[in-house]
Amino acid sequence: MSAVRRPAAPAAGDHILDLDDLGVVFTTETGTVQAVRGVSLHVAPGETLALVGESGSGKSTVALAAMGLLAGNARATGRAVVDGTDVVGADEERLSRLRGSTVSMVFQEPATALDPLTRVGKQIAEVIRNHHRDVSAADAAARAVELLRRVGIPEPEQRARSYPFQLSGGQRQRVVIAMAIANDPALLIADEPTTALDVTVQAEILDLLRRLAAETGTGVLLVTHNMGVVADFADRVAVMYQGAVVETGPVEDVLLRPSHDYTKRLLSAVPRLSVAEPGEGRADERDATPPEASGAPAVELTDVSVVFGRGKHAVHALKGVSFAVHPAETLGLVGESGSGKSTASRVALGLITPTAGSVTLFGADLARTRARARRALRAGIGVVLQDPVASLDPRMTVGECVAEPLRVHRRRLSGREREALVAEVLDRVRLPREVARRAPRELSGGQRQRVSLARALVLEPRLLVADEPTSALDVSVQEAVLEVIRELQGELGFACLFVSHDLAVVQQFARRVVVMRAGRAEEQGLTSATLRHPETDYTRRLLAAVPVPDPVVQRGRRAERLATLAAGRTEERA
Amino acid sequence: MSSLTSLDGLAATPPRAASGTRLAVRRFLRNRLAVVGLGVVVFFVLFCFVGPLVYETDQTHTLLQQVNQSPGGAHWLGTDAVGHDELGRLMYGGKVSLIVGLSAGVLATVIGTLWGAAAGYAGGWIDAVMMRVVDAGIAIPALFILLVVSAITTPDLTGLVLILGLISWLVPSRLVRAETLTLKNRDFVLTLRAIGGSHGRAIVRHILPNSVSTVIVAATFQIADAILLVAYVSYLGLGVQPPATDWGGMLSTGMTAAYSGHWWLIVPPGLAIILVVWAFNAIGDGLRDAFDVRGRA
Repeated sequence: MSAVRRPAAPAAGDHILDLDDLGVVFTTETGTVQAVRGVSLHVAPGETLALVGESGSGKSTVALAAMGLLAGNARATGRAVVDGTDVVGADEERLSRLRGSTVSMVFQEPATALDPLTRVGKQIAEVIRNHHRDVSAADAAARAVELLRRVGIPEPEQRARSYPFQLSGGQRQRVVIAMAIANDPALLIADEPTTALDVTVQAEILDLLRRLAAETGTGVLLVTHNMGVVADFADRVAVMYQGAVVETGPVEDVLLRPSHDYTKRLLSAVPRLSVAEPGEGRADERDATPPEASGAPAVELTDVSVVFGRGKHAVHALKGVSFAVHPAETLGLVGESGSGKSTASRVALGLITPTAGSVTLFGADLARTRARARRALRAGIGVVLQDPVASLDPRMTVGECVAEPLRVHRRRLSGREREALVAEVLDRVRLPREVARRAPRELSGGQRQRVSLARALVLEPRLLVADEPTSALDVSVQEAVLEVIRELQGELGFACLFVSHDLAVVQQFARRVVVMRAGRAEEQGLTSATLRHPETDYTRRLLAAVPVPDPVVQRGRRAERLATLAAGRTEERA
Repeated sequence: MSSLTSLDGLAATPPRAASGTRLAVRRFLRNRLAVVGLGVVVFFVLFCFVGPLVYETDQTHTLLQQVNQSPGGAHWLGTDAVGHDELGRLMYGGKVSLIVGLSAGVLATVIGTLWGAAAGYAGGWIDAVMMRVVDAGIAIPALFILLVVSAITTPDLTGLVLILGLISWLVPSRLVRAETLTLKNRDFVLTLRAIGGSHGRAIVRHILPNSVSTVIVAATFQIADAILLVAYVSYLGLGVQPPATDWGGMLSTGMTAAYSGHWWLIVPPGLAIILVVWAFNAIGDGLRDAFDVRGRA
């Protein structure tokens, strides 16, 4: 049943995907939007082309257009030829014959890409039987198990009978990939295939995709915003900006010697993980004392445990975690999803009461303070959360959002005094004063995060808790927001608890770091020491899995990581 | 599209987006039935409240010299068994139907909103108890309660509104509770809690304003239901007492004359009820499109 194998060497005119002057226009309630204009690209068999750009650049729209999967209000022009068939203007019947067999797609979110009520083996078998009616159910099931084995799922016979919820996020993405390659597609389109995954899982999935592409000579169109992933995986890169391709070329050229201004700016904004040179010693010894050890820490967690639920179903979110954030310093809290870093930040905020252990806020034990005193203490806290859309009330103006802490804690202020304070803090985060009268949805993501920051700072807090404040933002915007936080910290001297999954950002931004894993503080110390010369295997693995946006360096790191893994495995066996 | 400007104008504000209200109005107008429904409601409001000023009739005295006249002449829709002009009576009774329906619908929505928001926000056992009360209430047929209450007392207008309001707040309370459950975990509420804002502030300033679209849609459906309920109750002779009347009551008196072929005493109030109830439902549908709210309970 397998398709004819295409030669791996790309020959001119033998492209598996050929986009020629592709344009896409969306008709919306407020008018038409030209999302993609004049895009010409090609993917040769066995080659990986990465399509990069910031949100709104049109990269995902290009991918959907190549699949003929554009939404009803979109109109495509130009040509998008997949294996000899022009997808633009093709009828639904031809498209569905093409999809799933010649070209298939891997989406970002493995949780929603699978049918939650069907066993994964059956879902894969269905994809096979959709295009090969003559394959018997038993054969398809056997082939599904084979595919699960190929994508590296242990005990595939048992796993084929699992429902998606019984698998981890990484395993689910492997199942999605198994479905995508079930009919030996000539072209695989992957739209942010690893964005929803932790770095260590991301590294595994990228290894898997690379191996599959090499084994079968499948062409890959990889859509991503992550330059590290590009460096790790792509042969060629196309950079998109405002719906058009501004630069195309081999990965080394584009990432190391970019020619277009936009590419240069984009790359310079990417936070880079600085890695220790081999043989370099640990620069400074563990020196966990704050810059000026003056007075009490802003917030201190001592041996804090948090248990959700009870009995057999109890979840131990935190197990004996201790750390302190001192005035004027930034403590980074890093870890993978489920490591407890957000829970820890919420305990520090007093939103979650610890099951055991104590929390001290500005020198006062939270468990022993009365409600009124606790409220007064909280006036000293500012909060910035991850989602720029959800963190501002859509029914309020920006000015009302920023003024809210004043209304809570300084009720005596007159309207005019409040307005003056809001204007002042908007200046500080470098937003024009006029935005106070705007609605949050009229602002961009970066501007909204700065409104959140203004709200957090309007009471001049002594502690800022920032939970993934830039994770939903594009790199260039992230850089600007972090810059504002850093400057204001210099001015106002607040302590900052900075929660992030991005090791590179934490390395640049935090003086000290706590690495969390499964509810425990795995390792903590000065960022410069801990993230360059980690003491635990876990931190080392975490660091090794972060792809750096330099294809040459990344190739070395990948080889090193795989060698370490292989060594670990043989050691286990021995 | 908002971050197209991300690299360049960091301080530049993007152009003003089309206002949410204008979009909502546009979506509402696109629903033709809703627009017709709005027209019907406006027509009946004018008919019942302005109409009597133009078309003056005596609706209090018995006028034996002009009973049971068929439509035509001085009385466009004829007269009833006690000589009241039927067209005038349609206006007079409609006033009661609309006032009671609107007030009861709004009252039910207000009670339901507060109850649902409180239950959803409190969570835990408080929520469980409050919602079991709602479940129990929904299990008892509204008409049954109405009949029992009306049998005990003869309510006046205010009484009727209170009774109707107090038995029909259950469905909106479920809707608002569901909305509150999602809203209370939104980041802007968490942020407020983290800096020490009170529960009251979270509910009044954040949760209620954000569920307003759900509430308005629920209210229109509640009004339609209330108008229908008033008609039921009055039809059974338990609503407002003569000489006052409403459409349900008119239908009821008209039915006694059905065998004499006095169709003009039955068809006009019947049609008026159907049209107004349909119109409010159509408006509710249109508003749901406009606000993009999910379906009823």
